[in-house]
Amino acid sequence: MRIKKAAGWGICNNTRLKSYLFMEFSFEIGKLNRLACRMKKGDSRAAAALYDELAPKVFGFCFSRIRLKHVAEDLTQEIFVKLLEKIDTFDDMKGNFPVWFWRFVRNHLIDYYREKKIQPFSDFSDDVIESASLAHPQRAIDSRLETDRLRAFIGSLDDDEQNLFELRYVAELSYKQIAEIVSKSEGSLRVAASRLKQKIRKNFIS
Amino acid sequence: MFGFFNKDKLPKPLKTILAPKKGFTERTRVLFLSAYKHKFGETIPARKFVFATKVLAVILVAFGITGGISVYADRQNVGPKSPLYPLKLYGEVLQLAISKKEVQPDLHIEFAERRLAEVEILKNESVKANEAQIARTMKDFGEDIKASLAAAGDRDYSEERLPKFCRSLDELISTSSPNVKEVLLAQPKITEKFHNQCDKFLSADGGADGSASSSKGLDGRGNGDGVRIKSASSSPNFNDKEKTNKSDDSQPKLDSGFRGNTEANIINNLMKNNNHKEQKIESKNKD
Repeated sequence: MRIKKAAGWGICNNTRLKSYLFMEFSFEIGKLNRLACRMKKGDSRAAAALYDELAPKVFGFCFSRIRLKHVAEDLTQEIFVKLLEKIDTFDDMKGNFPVWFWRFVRNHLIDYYREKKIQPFSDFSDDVIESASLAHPQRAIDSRLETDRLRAFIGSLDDDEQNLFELRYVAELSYKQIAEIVSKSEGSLRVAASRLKQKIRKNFIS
Repeated sequence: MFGFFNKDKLPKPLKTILAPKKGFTERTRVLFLSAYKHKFGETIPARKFVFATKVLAVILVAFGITGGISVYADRQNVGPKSPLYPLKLYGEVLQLAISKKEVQPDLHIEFAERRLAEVEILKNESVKANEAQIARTMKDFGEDIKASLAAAGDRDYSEERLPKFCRSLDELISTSSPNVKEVLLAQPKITEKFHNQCDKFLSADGGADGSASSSKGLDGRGNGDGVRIKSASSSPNFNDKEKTNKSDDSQPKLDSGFRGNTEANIINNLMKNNNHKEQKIESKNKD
């Protein structure tokens, strides 16, 4: 059994110190940064924890963009394999892990579109919706109606709005982190998000 | 319906739609971790070591601090009212635990001497609240005596040394202050064991020469000889006069038929004892 240097006392101290210095008290960011640091040093438990944290979000991100389940699964696997290759390049002193990771995911999807030239479908596959609502028929009908409206709405979003939707609601990033990824100001993103919310309300309430 | 957007969270139905199948996430997890192990090798979870190291460090620090304070309390010989007193007792227990069996009886005597000194201090304060403390300290004293006798009665402790040990214990009891003697008189059980084990030596000493320490009284009363404390269960070998005075009464008796000591003699003994203590302190200070 090969024993790597144990990620012990002092590991990720940079991350910890930085989070104290810059008053980054967001538990989630600190947690992901520490997990990434430990994963980089060879701690398999940290890698597993990071996967558990990010895999559902990555799949959701890919699925909402591609809208093909099997392709989204393939892409999720590819992203995590690529993460292993790229993790050495992550520098916790330069930026926080969520920003680094989701930038990397977006770039991977852009590369995928460039290579395959596949246009996203404008719909979700029906089997997914049915499997989600088999247990309660009444709720299934409601859910179906709601989802129909919602998927039609997502299909009608422009690129910026879709990006915002995916990063804010699927990846659950903060406005600050989204601003770093899409290179826009935090204020403009907030304005765009409120417009997006209004659009959603108008679409669904009327 | 869209209250969730106020919280910036996805609604449950949409979350379900966007969630991957369980089989897929588990399969991918296995693949990801095997690829990870292929790249980084089999690793020992570092967190275990970090946690163990932290726990070990905390235990060591706690022991270090407790040990340091107990040594300090021991050096300062703090009184029973000091908050450091339990640590002093703890230090004594540790000292006994790490010392050789041969030394243990003497250590017990030393600690018994401390208890008596503490009782004397408490008695001098004449505060009612001290009664409970005195009782506790006397209990500790009794345990020290008992333990010292038990250790001395052990086979490792040679027979030659036992009389010497008994004499020093007798010296300790007999040279204690009137205050302490009063307490001892009230609690005869404490010295009962001492008499059982040591009286044969002390009576032998008494027979050999009249100046033996065992002849010193406990309370300075009696007909010029000092008084010796004795319980009903004391050894019959204690001395001849004791035999004559023996009765069924369980209360401590005042055995006044000893060698010609007076109150003045007891005071001398006390003064000697105090001088001895002062000398000890001086030598300690010199060190």
